Amino acid sequence: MTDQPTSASTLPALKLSNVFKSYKDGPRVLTDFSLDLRPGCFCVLLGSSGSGKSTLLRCIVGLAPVDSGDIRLHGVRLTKKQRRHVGMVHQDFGLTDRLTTAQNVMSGSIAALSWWRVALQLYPHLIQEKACALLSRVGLSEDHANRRTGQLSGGQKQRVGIARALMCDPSLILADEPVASLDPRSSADVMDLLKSAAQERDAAVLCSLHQIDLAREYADRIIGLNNGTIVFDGPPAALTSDAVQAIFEIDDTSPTLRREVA
Amino acid sequence: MMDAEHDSLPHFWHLKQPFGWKSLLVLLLIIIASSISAERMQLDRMASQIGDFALEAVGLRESSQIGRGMGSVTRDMFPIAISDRRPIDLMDGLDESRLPFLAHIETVEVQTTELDPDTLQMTTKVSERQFLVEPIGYLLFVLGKMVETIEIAIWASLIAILVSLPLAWLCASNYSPHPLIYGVARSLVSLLRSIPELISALFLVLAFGFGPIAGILALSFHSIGFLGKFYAEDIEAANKSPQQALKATGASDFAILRIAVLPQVLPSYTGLSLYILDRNIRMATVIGLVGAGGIGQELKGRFDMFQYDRVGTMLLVIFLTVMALDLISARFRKRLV
Repeated sequence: MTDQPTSASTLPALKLSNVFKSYKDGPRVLTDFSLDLRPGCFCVLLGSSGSGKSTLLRCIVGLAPVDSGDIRLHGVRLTKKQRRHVGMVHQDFGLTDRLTTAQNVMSGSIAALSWWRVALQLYPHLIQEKACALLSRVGLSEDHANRRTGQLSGGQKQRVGIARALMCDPSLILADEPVASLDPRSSADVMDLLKSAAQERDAAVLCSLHQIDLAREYADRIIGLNNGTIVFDGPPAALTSDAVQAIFEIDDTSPTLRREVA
Repeated sequence: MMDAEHDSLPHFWHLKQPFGWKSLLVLLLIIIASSISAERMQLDRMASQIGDFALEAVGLRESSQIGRGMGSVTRDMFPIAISDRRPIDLMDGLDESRLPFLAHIETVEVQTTELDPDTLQMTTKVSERQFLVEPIGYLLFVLGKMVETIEIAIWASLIAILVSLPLAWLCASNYSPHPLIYGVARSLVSLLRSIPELISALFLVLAFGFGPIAGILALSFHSIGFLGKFYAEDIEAANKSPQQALKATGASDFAILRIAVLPQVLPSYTGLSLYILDRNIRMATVIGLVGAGGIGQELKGRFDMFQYDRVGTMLLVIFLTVMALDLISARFRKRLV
């Protein structure tokens, strides 16, 4: 029930096969990791910190080189140029506070620009229009667009982060704990936005979370990670308390988490 | 072991004391070393000379070495020279109908005695000599030299900033394209920083001749050594999060530096650059001592000719300029950072 059989004819949006990754002098984070992601699927990576969620996303987007293994986007091996079609939303937003909001959004398409446009921060008219459209899509105004990003609230910053991720017309959106530093209300807003924006583009989403309730509410598919291996893979309905226990190794964890699960 | 620690009562715990016998030993060593050094540096003589001078100042002593040494200089320095007076016959091509600003011509009768070769008698001749007197001529000349000094400093700072920006890229460990380039760039920056301006100016005067070129280059070399290091350290210390986000989009190093790093480090860069400009203006007044242009060149010349009244004018102008620039740069910094 992970990938619907109807999508068998189309190529998976993202396919990881036999990925190995370890950090220098550290333990192996990903061991023989494989994963298929259907287009348009909102997939949540659920796990506690240190379970390898972030590393997996960083490997896909090229921030951390894999030791071995194959990563394909719609059947095409992911190269630096291919990565322009992957949007990423970061836990700490990854925005330059002293730039304006619009400049931050437009920087999502910087890789495609010539050096002199980069040097002068002169974005083509088309990109400017697109940034405006995206900013209004994520619920920000012209006033916000021309303000320095440092003046925005956390929830607004993450909206800007989503808008930037959408600049490259992604077929795959990666989100690394996108709501970890937000309050519950903004978290729900941001997750709503992420889901609807992805649906509009039929983009697949791979979103790492540690909040079980958010995973249940938004995911089409949940992948439970523990110690770099998949311990659960299925729809939210199949996420039983046993499965949660396996994901979080809940045997002697805090009562708060127990209550949340129950 | 652990249990024993838990069982022991609080008053058995060993707490760190602010100082112990080790610190006292170090203090003793410092005192011994500094007294040896003080002996070598003749600090005792300095103290007695200053004491003598203080006694003279309050009238308890007739004279002191400092008083004698500085007395003549200070007497000659005041009043400072404002005007300029030069004999006309030494000036070529002076158009008397179009004199310089505020200038007038003064005619003085000069008596000269000379031996008449025919009669072998001393005769007194009366001749007229004309002087061009400019009431604020010397002050204007010094101000012009000061402007030249500031120009030297501005150009030196500008060149240093423009060279340091790309150099900082090569010197930043996280963006340098190759470890070898990093090593070379770092050593170059250290080398430039380690040569004092006056020393490099000495050599540059040999290479480029007297004048502002040597001064500009000497100042900018040292400034590059300073700015290259600190610009690079700012790049290394910049918040990684936006850089990673841009890297994830496949952006080039140049794009990341421009979009994610430069805006972050700009306030700090402005502060560093203003400091360098401030420093270069002060150094530019000194660098003329070795002939590298600016007010220092004039200062050295007049000092060597014992014209202390003109030296006084220059010192006053330098002091007022540095003070004014201090005020301006403080205001500028407040607005920008």
